[in-house]
Amino acid sequence: MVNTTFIFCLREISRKYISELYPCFRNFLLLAGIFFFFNQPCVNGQTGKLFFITSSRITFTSKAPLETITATSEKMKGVVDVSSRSVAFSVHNQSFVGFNSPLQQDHFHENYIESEKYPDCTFSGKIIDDFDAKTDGNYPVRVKGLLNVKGIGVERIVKGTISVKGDELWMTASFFVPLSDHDIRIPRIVQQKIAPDVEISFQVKLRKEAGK
Amino acid sequence: MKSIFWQLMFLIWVFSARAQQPFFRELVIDRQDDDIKTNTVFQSPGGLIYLGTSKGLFRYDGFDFRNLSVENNCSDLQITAIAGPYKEGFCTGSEKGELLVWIADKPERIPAPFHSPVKSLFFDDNNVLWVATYGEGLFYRTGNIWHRLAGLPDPFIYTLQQHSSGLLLAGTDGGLVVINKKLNPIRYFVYSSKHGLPDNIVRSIGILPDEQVLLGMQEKGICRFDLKTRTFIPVTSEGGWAHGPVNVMVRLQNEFWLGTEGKGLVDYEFSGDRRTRHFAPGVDFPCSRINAMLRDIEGNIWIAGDNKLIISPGEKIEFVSSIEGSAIDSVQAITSNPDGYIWYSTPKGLYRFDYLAKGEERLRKFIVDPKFPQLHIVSLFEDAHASLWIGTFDNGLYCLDPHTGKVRRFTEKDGLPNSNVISIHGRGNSVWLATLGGVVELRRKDPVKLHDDFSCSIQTNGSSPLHNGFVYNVYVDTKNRLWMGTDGKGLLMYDGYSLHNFPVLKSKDVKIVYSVLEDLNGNIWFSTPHHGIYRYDGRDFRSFNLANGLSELEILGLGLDNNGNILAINRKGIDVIQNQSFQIQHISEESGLKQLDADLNSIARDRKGGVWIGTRSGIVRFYNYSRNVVQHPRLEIHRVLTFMKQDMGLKDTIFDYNQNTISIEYTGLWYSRPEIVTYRYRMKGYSNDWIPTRDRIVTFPNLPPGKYTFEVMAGLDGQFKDATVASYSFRIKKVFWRETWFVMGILLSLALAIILFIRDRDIRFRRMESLKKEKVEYQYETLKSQVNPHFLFNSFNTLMAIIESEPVKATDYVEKLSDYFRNMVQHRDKDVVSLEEELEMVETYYFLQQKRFGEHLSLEIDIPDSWKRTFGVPPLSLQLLIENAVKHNAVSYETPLKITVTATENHTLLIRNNLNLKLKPDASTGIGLENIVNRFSIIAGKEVKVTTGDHEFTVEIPLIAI
Repeated sequence: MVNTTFIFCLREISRKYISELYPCFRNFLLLAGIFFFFNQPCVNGQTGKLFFITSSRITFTSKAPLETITATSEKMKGVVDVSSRSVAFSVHNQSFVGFNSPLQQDHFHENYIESEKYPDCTFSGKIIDDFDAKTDGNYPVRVKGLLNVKGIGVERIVKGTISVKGDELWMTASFFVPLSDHDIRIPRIVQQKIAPDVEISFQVKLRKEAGK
Repeated sequence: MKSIFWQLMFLIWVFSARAQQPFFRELVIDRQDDDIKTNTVFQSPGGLIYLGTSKGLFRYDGFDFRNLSVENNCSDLQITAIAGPYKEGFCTGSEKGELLVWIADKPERIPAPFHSPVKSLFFDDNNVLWVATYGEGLFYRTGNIWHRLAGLPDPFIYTLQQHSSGLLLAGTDGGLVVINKKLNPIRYFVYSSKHGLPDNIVRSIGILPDEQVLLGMQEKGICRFDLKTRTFIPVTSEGGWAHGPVNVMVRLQNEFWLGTEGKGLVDYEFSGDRRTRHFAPGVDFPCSRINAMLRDIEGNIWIAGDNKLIISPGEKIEFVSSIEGSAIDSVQAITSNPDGYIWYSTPKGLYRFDYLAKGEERLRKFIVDPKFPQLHIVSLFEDAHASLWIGTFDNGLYCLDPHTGKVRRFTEKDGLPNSNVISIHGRGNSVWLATLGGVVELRRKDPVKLHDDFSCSIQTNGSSPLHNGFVYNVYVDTKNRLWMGTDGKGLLMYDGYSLHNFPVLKSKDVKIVYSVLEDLNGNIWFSTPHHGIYRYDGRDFRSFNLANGLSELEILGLGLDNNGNILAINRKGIDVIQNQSFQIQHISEESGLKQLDADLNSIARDRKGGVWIGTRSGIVRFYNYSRNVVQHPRLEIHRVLTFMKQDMGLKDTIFDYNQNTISIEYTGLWYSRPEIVTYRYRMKGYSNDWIPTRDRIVTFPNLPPGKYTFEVMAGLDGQFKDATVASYSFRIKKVFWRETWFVMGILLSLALAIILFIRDRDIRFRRMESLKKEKVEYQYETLKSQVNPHFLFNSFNTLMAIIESEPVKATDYVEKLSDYFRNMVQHRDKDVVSLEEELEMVETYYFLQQKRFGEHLSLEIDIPDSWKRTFGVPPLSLQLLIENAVKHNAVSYETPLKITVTATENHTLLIRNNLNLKLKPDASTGIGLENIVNRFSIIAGKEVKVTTGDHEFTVEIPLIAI
């Protein structure tokens, strides 16, 4: 029964994701909810409309004239509620690997994303366009939500695809994020090495929670 | 006459021309701060422009931006929406959901239950406030109670619009919501992609005619929605929508301007040709992301985008300035054709472009004569049969039939008097040419076979041309009369039979006429280089010059707009002469017309009535959309100051006599061009003359007291016809001592004082009279008693007794007796005598009586010496009391009489004697004592106490300080 309360919280919070009220509290609850679901498989029938990430791959790419930087994480967590069509994803900054050098990775955490202060990047929002989670097929959708990087939330409309295959849900998307939106400043000296707009692409596989 | 023609029409290039482009002017809100993001623009019913910005609320009157939020200490609010009118003011909503009501530019908070950004708000017909929030849905307020419209598909609302049918339309992330607020409970319907909406994110809504609305979406551009059938009508755009999310839209006459998220401005023509034009940021348009737009009552369009505020005259004036990046320069001749083409020539050649083409305009360049690729074309005319006549310098005349591509050249061999053709005009089958060799008519023979045959003859009116001077302009009017603007002869007219000139003009020294034009009512207008414009109605000439509103005398061309108004093109811009009122409106810098170097008579009118003007720097199109816009500045008196600083607001209308230096501040709102607003004012009660000024404040020093009405009018460039009057009445009070109440008060108190004085004097007279009477009575009494025969008899007896035995004493006695009578006579007229004098009398009397009674009579006086001079008594009063005692008592050996006079502490004298009344009293009137009592009360207002005991008689008399 504890689960129901959390689901309720999750929905309510997703719905109000943009609200400027209590941003810290909101993030905390959201993540708490996600982790709770991972650790405690639910047996409640009512929660059958929730899909959880089972595998994921998120990559960011900065294509600058002098250097291309790519890093990937496969440890994204998240949940999609198909009834309210709300989504919530979170990824640990420290889980990104694949930088061109360890030094670069350190710079990424220390100078740009400030991982100690802001350990996670999150995206929570709602799916704008219609799709049918019961019918197999590919659905181009837009997801509108708040992308929170380095503690700064910016509203984004992300175009992507949802593929329904039985109990599985695949989501893929790719979009550009201007670094300036999240107060990530690039020193003039490395401007040729870091692009002002970074491309984010991700693929996630989600599975209906009731099946567990 | 051999006609040469070739079937050659060189089509060289097809350009994609830059769309004709409106003029955009940037306004600077704050020179110190370039980071003011304007979220919304609002015009109050009074005409003032208010801006809701990231730095609060600004007010703009055409001259200054005033930050009302800073003035009222609420600059932390980001204003995102404004609505009104509400209670003589308006209402603003902020980024955090705060609502403020502004009345007289002072804010007051309305409590509201939401905290999300306010995207839209408005008051409906029942004064219910509707608020669309971005995150918490839709709210409305009836009375003081807030209601939330529950169950909307999405709480994120971009826009809320009211349709004239009473329906409300909300654009959300979940589609279009149509709300019927007339139903109870309020019902709504959601239209999303299931119903045919191309894109569920509806960001903006505009109201179209015929119960339709236009929706601006996130990705799919725009679509129409029919409110009657509740269906979506796609707006086709070739190759999909490439201009990004449509944030806002504003309706112009036949178009919507769409503001996009990052792709500048899009112009969508919703009626007629339904074309769309894109003004790309950085190229045609100064900003990329547009947040807000407004069409004001003058017809200007306000655009807030990025950190900029832009004002545009809208589609009234548009420019075609460049083609593929290379500028159109030095347009020398221009003409239009009914199919929507504009022909124009520059030194580089002849061009035609299609201004009605959907999407991008098509422009073509023609080579008329392959032998002369650089033809110098100075005149163009398309006749009734769609043939284009091309007049050149030095190369004669060409006629081009665009349908067949045939070109024919006319030279001097064909009868042309001269190979320079300055001006061409015609009607029907006749074409008139102004050449340097004279004016000739070219008459087409067979109109039916026109397209195949160019056979025509040049009429030369006998053997010589019609007029062989220099002619600037030929014009054939609807009555087939030929009008000529000449150099030297002024205006000439040829009616087919003879040539007419106008002696009236000669008397006015009008020798040069540049342009001639007929208006829709058959009047002939013509312009001169130095005398402005004339209008000839067949009988009289009416002059238009600087005095009646023309901005320049030198007119480069005359045109006729879509409303039948006359356009006069000058170097500064265009003067529009209204066809009915003859009021002149100037269009210049505010619309981007700066240094309008138009070539003489390089002007054309298209089939919609748009006027095209060829200039050195491109082509200008003018279209008059003035039907529902105001023609005069809105005028408002803001405040009244005394002595230039004390702000009295406008509610105070009564001033003290010393607050008589009064300044009145007013502004005429004319956002198109604030600097041309002029005013005239008068102060009724002071002077009835109108005084012209450009100042927005007028000061009246030292106004005398009285009633005044200040009236001010605002006009454009000194024209006040039909202008509204703003007035302010007030009164200056008189100095208080000239006020009626004060004068009346003074008169009343004066009268009162006089009455009181008279009464007082009356009382004093009466008192004096009674005193006189008392005194007379007393004197009489005293005299009577003193000349009493007993007293004399007794005195003489005493004298007789001593006269022989003691002659010295007798002499002494007689002396005292005479002293006594003298004193009595001396004092009787006085009111008061000093105690010393009175006591002297008493002593004398006692001396006289003691001689008679010897030791049986004794008098003891015990009065401090200091009193004798400082106090007094009525004369003879003390003496009378002593005398009374002697008179009424028997004085003998057995019964001695002892009288004492002592002073008391209360400044009175106590006169005491033992009682030993005579058995047979002397005859007495009894007046003596009473008289004394009266005299004391009259003179000193003091009382005399008389006490009669068994053995003692006491009288206490008060002393009078002298």
